[in-house]
Amino acid sequence: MNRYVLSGLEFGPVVVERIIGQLDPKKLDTRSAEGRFTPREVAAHLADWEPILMGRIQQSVEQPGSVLATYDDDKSNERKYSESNVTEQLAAFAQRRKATVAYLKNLQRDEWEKSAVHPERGAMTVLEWAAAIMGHDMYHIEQLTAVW
Amino acid sequence: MTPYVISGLEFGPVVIERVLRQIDPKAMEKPAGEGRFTPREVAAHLADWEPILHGRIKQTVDSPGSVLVAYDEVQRGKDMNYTATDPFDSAQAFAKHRQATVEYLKGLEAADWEKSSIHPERGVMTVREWVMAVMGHDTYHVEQLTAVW
Repeated sequence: MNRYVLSGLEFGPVVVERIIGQLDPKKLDTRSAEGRFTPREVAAHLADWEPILMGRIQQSVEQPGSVLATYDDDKSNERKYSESNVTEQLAAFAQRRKATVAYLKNLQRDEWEKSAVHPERGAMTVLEWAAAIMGHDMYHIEQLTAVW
Repeated sequence: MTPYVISGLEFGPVVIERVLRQIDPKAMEKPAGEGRFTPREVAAHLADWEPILHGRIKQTVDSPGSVLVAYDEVQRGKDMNYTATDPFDSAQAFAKHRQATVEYLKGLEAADWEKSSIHPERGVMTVREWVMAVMGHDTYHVEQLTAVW
């Protein structure tokens, strides 16, 4: 696997933590736009979603062709993102991402091509899920820098 | 299209520009570590490298199986005089070049993403793998810039 893919995944939580650290603490509950997550909610969302994304990769490897479970992103109220502790969520995100990267590092080349079926997005390979994770990181990094 | 890939690519230059604005101007010459680029050089490198990466993707689509040209990143930085560049001009050029890459990718058929060419050092890589390398390369350099704060 290209060296920038694994380093990009590894650096996601590092960058998120530094960018949040650069924010005025009063802005942790500020939205960059109506309906978007606050920085506090972004941290909780990333920590919450990482095991879901890792689970999808693992299911694709172990049960290719199986159907993945879907979740509603908008259930953040039920998950109490807005009441979470940012420091704890950042630590959880970093720890969980480490597990994802360790799992990916152990895959054989042909395992990156295995796929499972997302009910809304169709068949996606492990490679495509890894790309989605990197894009998802950057999407939320942009969101955080919009609050500076 | 894989979710978040196009938006991730589009947001790379936006984040780079915002992160550069958070850097004390005096730190523009400060490398994040021994032998690494300074923020000024990172901005120049991203602007300089984007057409190369776009060219590799295009060559892969147009001439699958062909051999790509490899460059020495450090030597190219010297040859292209990265140290004499304006970081915000570079950020602007990077954004413009990335827009061209994204437009090109948006026009590809699903089968084009699986075409491959050969990098002399990295071996066979598909368009999808190049796109992932571009995304990882962005995050790698965002990390490098945030390390000098």
